[in-house]
Amino acid sequence: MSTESREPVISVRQLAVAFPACDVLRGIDLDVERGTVFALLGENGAGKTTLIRILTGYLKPGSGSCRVLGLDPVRDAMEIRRRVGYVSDAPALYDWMRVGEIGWFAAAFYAPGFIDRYHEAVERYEVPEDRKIGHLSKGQRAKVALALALAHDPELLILDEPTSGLDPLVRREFLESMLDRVATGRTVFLSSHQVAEVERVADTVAILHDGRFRVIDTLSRLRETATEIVVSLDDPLVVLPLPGEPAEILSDRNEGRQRRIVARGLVETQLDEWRARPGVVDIRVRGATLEELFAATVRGRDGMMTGN
Amino acid sequence: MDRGLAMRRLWWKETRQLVPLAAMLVVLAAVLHLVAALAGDRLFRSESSQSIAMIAMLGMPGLFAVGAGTLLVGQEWDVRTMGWLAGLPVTGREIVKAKLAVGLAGLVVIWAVVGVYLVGAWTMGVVDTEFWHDALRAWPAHTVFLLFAATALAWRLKSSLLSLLAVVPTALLPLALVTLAMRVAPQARWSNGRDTTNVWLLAAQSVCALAAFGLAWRWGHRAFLPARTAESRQSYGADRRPSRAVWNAVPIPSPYSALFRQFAVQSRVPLAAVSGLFLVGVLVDAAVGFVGAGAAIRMVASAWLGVLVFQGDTVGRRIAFLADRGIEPRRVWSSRIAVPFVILGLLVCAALAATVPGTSWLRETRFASVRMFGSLMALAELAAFVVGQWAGQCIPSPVIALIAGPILAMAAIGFSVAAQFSLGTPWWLAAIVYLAPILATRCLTRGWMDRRFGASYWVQQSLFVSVFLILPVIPFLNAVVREPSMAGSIAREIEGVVRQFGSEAATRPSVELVLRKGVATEDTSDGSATDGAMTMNADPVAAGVTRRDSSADSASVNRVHPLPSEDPIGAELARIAEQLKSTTGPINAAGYRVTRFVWHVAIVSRAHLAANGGPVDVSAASARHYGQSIALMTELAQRLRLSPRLVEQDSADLIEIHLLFELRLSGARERIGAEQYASSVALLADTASRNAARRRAVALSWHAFQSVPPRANAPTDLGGYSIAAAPGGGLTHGVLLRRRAGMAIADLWALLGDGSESGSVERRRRINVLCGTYDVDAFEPELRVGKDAGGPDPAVGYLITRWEQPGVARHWFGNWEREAAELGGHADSP
Amino acid sequence: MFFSIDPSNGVAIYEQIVRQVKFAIAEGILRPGQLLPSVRTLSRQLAINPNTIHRAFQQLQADGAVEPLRGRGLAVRSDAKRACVEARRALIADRLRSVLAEGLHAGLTSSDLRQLVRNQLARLDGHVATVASVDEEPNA
Repeated sequence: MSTESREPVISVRQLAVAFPACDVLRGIDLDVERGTVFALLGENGAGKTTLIRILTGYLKPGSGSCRVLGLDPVRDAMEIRRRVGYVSDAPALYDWMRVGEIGWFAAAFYAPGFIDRYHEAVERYEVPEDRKIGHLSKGQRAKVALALALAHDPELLILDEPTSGLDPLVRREFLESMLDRVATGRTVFLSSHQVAEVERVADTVAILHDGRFRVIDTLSRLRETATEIVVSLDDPLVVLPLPGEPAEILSDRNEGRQRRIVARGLVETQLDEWRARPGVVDIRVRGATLEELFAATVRGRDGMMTGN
Repeated sequence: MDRGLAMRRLWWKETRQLVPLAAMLVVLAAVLHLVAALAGDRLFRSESSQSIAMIAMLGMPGLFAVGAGTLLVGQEWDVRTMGWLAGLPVTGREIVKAKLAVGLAGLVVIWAVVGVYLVGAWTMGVVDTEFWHDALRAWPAHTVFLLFAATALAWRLKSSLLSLLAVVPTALLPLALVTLAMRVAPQARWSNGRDTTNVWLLAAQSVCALAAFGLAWRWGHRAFLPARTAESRQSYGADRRPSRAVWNAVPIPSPYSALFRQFAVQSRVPLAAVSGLFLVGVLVDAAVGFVGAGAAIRMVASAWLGVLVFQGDTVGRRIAFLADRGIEPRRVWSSRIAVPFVILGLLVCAALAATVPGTSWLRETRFASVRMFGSLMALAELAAFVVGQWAGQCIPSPVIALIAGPILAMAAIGFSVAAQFSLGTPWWLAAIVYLAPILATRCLTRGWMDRRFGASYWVQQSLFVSVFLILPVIPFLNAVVREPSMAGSIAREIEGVVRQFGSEAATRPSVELVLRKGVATEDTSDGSATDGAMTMNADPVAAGVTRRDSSADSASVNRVHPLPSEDPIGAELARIAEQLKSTTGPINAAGYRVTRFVWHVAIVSRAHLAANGGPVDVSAASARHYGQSIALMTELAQRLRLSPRLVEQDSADLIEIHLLFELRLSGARERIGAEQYASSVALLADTASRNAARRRAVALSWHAFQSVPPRANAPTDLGGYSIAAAPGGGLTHGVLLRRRAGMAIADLWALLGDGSESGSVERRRRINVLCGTYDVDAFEPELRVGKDAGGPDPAVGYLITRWEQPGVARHWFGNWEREAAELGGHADSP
Repeated sequence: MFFSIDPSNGVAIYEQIVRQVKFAIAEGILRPGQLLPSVRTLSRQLAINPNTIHRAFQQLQADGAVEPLRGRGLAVRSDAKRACVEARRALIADRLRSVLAEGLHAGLTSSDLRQLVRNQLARLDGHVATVASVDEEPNA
């Protein structure tokens, strides 16, 4: 392995790209530290795949810069793809090859040791080696793709919605393989909308919405600071003051005389302030799950708060 | 669910899928027309066939039929949308029906387009109706059959590539049936051979079309039924193959060998099928016995090998496997192109080896060199491969790539050939530009791998295409740019003269004088050697003119004229005078025999007068003849001068020279008569009007030349002279010829302006180069009598002359004009 | 030992691991000197980020429940049991307090609550197996 450097594995500054009809990415900043799992959440079409395509050199960014493993994807895309394990959604495999054969074929392009690791992985995943890939089920295909991506022991593993449409057992295998990489000091960049999975495995979470990161923070900090607050009111027309910086209201919904707010960074003093407002009967606080946070971020506010 | 709406949408989707195919065919037809226009008439037109462009139009419906069947069904299997289609709430029958109907409707539309085109061509009068009559009887039914056959094969084989390959032999099915039927059916029952062939063919096509329709329907319907258990088991069951240990034991290959193997195994079926097609082409050569009979098949196979280079991986986006792993583009490119190229090389060598003379099956060859034609074919096949691989990379859809590939290859080869013939491109340049498509695919492999078909990709491809098209044209452009053309001022002056006299020339047509048959001496040569000699019998009894063939070994003296009492010479001269009197316009240089005869009469009659002795009436006759001939020569010169063509001006010069010779002899005035002498001298001395006539002729000749476009096969005429062809053919020929003719005319104009020889050596050279003139030594006519001439009869005399053909401006401003002027000066003062 | 991790119950995952290890030590499931499973094994087993597990182990180390054994991993300290028992007790006391506070807030009297506690204990007694992991009730 290369020398342990403090430099982030992926580093993106002010990345923006526009397609003819829409601005897909509008200024993205992120850093992925070595040995962590970075999870990219977003709705379908938010731009997760676009970002990954830029990182792997398939697309050219409109503006901004990014570096992957210290290389520039615009110039050194091939080198990046060689050193990174990339599993795209619906990965391309040769249907006419057999499982063992495709590993043997891919081994020609990597350092020795590939074929052993590949066989080991395929055995662990229990994929029959003498079956044609065209005859495999969807989950087995995904496992083969993952095995191929891991067999050359890449420093960085990029997964683009790898487990969409797969059964829980296969998803579990993917998670285990991912975490295995992290345990040995490698890095994983994961794009997913399986929020429950992400909650288990991510170190850093970024929620991509409308071309920008609405949330980008470590999972532990997110969980500490994200809260779901249920305010019981006498009078539904009562308005609550906005909390000051750095607290942030992510969503705010009314249900009869109760108001459900998902917020970040809300402190106790702010809650006391709200309790003191006329018409407020009761406030219940609990930590928000990542799923609730995600839904709140993406769907946004549709309630009534001052300044809206 | 609104059933009607659903069906309409389904039909719309099918129609929409055909649009790229139709568009591509239209574009290709336009490209072929351009190439045909560039080639001009020279290369492709023969007496009985139509130009390649028209034949391409005929081919369009056929290609559409094959493409539509393959595209509508085969492509759906390839991109796996058939499963989705099956999941819609429409029955399989309806889907099959929709595809067949839309294909048929599209075919009708294409035929309508072709029909419109034909009607337009027919009104322009460029259509060979018999050919098209035959074609239109046989071809439409065949295209319908092709459509159904392609559809049926696509349903059965479930792959666009394979069905397209399978269509090729299937297309010949009706023809094979007809041949079989003709062999089997007794010949005597049918009277008209060609009509029966057509009827049989139509019958076979209908039968085959119905069969194909039935198969398409059946197989299409079956595709939507649940798969039988045998097929299911094959999809998901275990395969009976060696166990996994095999791949553990095999050593890891090097990257290149892994890639080669991957390509070869992946595309083994299409490669084998196309190679088979190529070999079929070689076999057709053997069967017909004529090298080149199977050329078209081999070209298509070579192009398809090229298309397979990149299309093998385009299907199902397989190339993403290599792209995702960062395999270098150069490795990908070389491994894609290596295997088909090697296969092509082997096949081409096989075809070449078969052209070795003495091969048993080459019964008959129509080319002088089978070897050379074989080599040319090999080059063409390589070229087709190169163009095919470029098309395979650029065109995303495999069906369209397979159809467009061979056509583009033929267009490219047509362009190269046309450039060589029409533009004078050297062969090595035409060959080198075929590196451009190879460079193109190499440079753009990365874009193709990443599927980045954006603006920059297409711009780069266009650059390479431009290099391919423009580079061969450069020598032509260079030649054209460097060739000087007539100065504008001269052009304007000429234009002025034309305006002044142009209409006049049109209203007074020239007349060609003729001699009575048998009177003239024979034209045995082009004037560069001693012409036929004329003999004259000194015997007054047989005062006829006899003819002697100078090329024969033994003298055959033929008495061709009747009794002396009729004075045949005088009669002939009178006849000539009649012809001259009957018109007022200029006379044609084609009647040079008349001029020559008159001149000969003058010489001989003078000789008679000079010879002392002889009967009085002979002398009188001779004197009469002499006088008449001199008068005629004068008049001939005048009438020639009226012509707007250069050749007549120069012919007039020649006559005037001969006339001057006669007039300068001592005693000429007495022999000719004072009046005639004076007018002849006046004519010869009139330099001003002579030059004016020449100037007029130069201007009008240029005008006439400009209004006729130069034709590649016909000689070009400048003022009655045939112009030597410019190098190259077609366009080069036309452009350079015009320029050079213009320069020659400018030189002549300048010559007339200067009025002297000063500084005109260069001009003379240019004129000579253009008009191919040659130097002629002076030759004095000679009259030998009797023993001096070596003849048997001492009384018979022989006239030896040389008739000079006119050459452009050869005698302008010669010494004779000065002498003529002097003579005119002296004539005033006796 | 078996862990049972619920990522979405409001308690941080690393905290859940810490608690469950401490309870296991307190219960005697994990004996002094016994090795904890490695970070890697545990992460694979639970499908939890190893960094989280690493953090949990660091926390345990800081709390004095485990100590590193050179070349072998983390082992339970001999004197850990008492501390863990204490910790367990404190945790349950915390939870009991929050439940009772909720009850009081809802309007129940102390005697009501005492009665409830007695009744529930009577029902549960003898029917709950002591297990190393505790089923955390989700917060209301």
